[in-house]
Amino acid sequence: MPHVAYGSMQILSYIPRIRATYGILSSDFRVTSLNDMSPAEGGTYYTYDWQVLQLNLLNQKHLGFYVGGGVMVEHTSTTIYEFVEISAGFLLREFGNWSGALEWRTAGGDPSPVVVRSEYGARINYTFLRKKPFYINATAGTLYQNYYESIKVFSGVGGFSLVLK
Amino acid sequence: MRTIFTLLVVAVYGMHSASAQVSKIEQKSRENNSPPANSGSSGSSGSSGSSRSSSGSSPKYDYDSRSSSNSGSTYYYYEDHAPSYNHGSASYYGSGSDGCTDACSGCAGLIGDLIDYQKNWLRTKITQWLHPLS
Repeated sequence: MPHVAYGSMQILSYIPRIRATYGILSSDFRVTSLNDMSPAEGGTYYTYDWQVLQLNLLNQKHLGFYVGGGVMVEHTSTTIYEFVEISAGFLLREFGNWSGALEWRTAGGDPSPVVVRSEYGARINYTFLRKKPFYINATAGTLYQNYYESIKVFSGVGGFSLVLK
Repeated sequence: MRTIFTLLVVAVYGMHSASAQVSKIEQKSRENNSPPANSGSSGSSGSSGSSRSSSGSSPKYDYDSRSSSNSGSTYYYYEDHAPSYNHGSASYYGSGSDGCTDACSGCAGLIGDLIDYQKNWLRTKITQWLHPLS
């Protein structure tokens, strides 16, 4: 049996992301930098995800649902590749100071013979500052990513979001 | 109609674990590069001097092509992850000469793994392109 065994390694990433919504239309851009903290070999692996167009098919006060499509650019120190990426997500809104999101996205296509990345994320937000039009939230959640159908990254997520509306 | 801008910045801390089994790309690579039935030991694994642990450096796309006199076909051997036909078993995967094998935990990091996968699928693609021509 072929054996390819790897140990678990620690990952630290930063994911800045901006999303603009106008009615049922949204566009979403984010940068993911995976920083390998393993002592054997470090490095950073970037992906740039632009969901060029997302359709907010469900756009109610407390619940939203969107689907979208765009591109993922994978950038290592020496290579750049582009792939098609699609996404979908449920947005939970305005339950008091709480809100949340369940999101999925996957990227692949020529020339990769396998799915380059599939991703599932869940997060909750707590609004601790409201000063219209600004809302500032604290965010926590989990993120699961599977790269090349082989490399699995389980993560906890924490951060802040600023909403203008 | 409202316009909403959301700026989200999160830090992500997690653990990476790669599949304990051979990766999907390697499976596809093997399917596309199965050795001839009577290849014997005439081939070379092409793994000498190579190590996946070096994958922090630039990926090499200079795939190694060698002719098999037994079948008259051209086969494309991977620099690493290649089935080592010399060992008489397709289940043995190539290892680097520095003692760092595919089974060696901690020899390559996440970035090295990702670049290795890139290398593998690119070579798979090159092989697919070249097979009809050979």
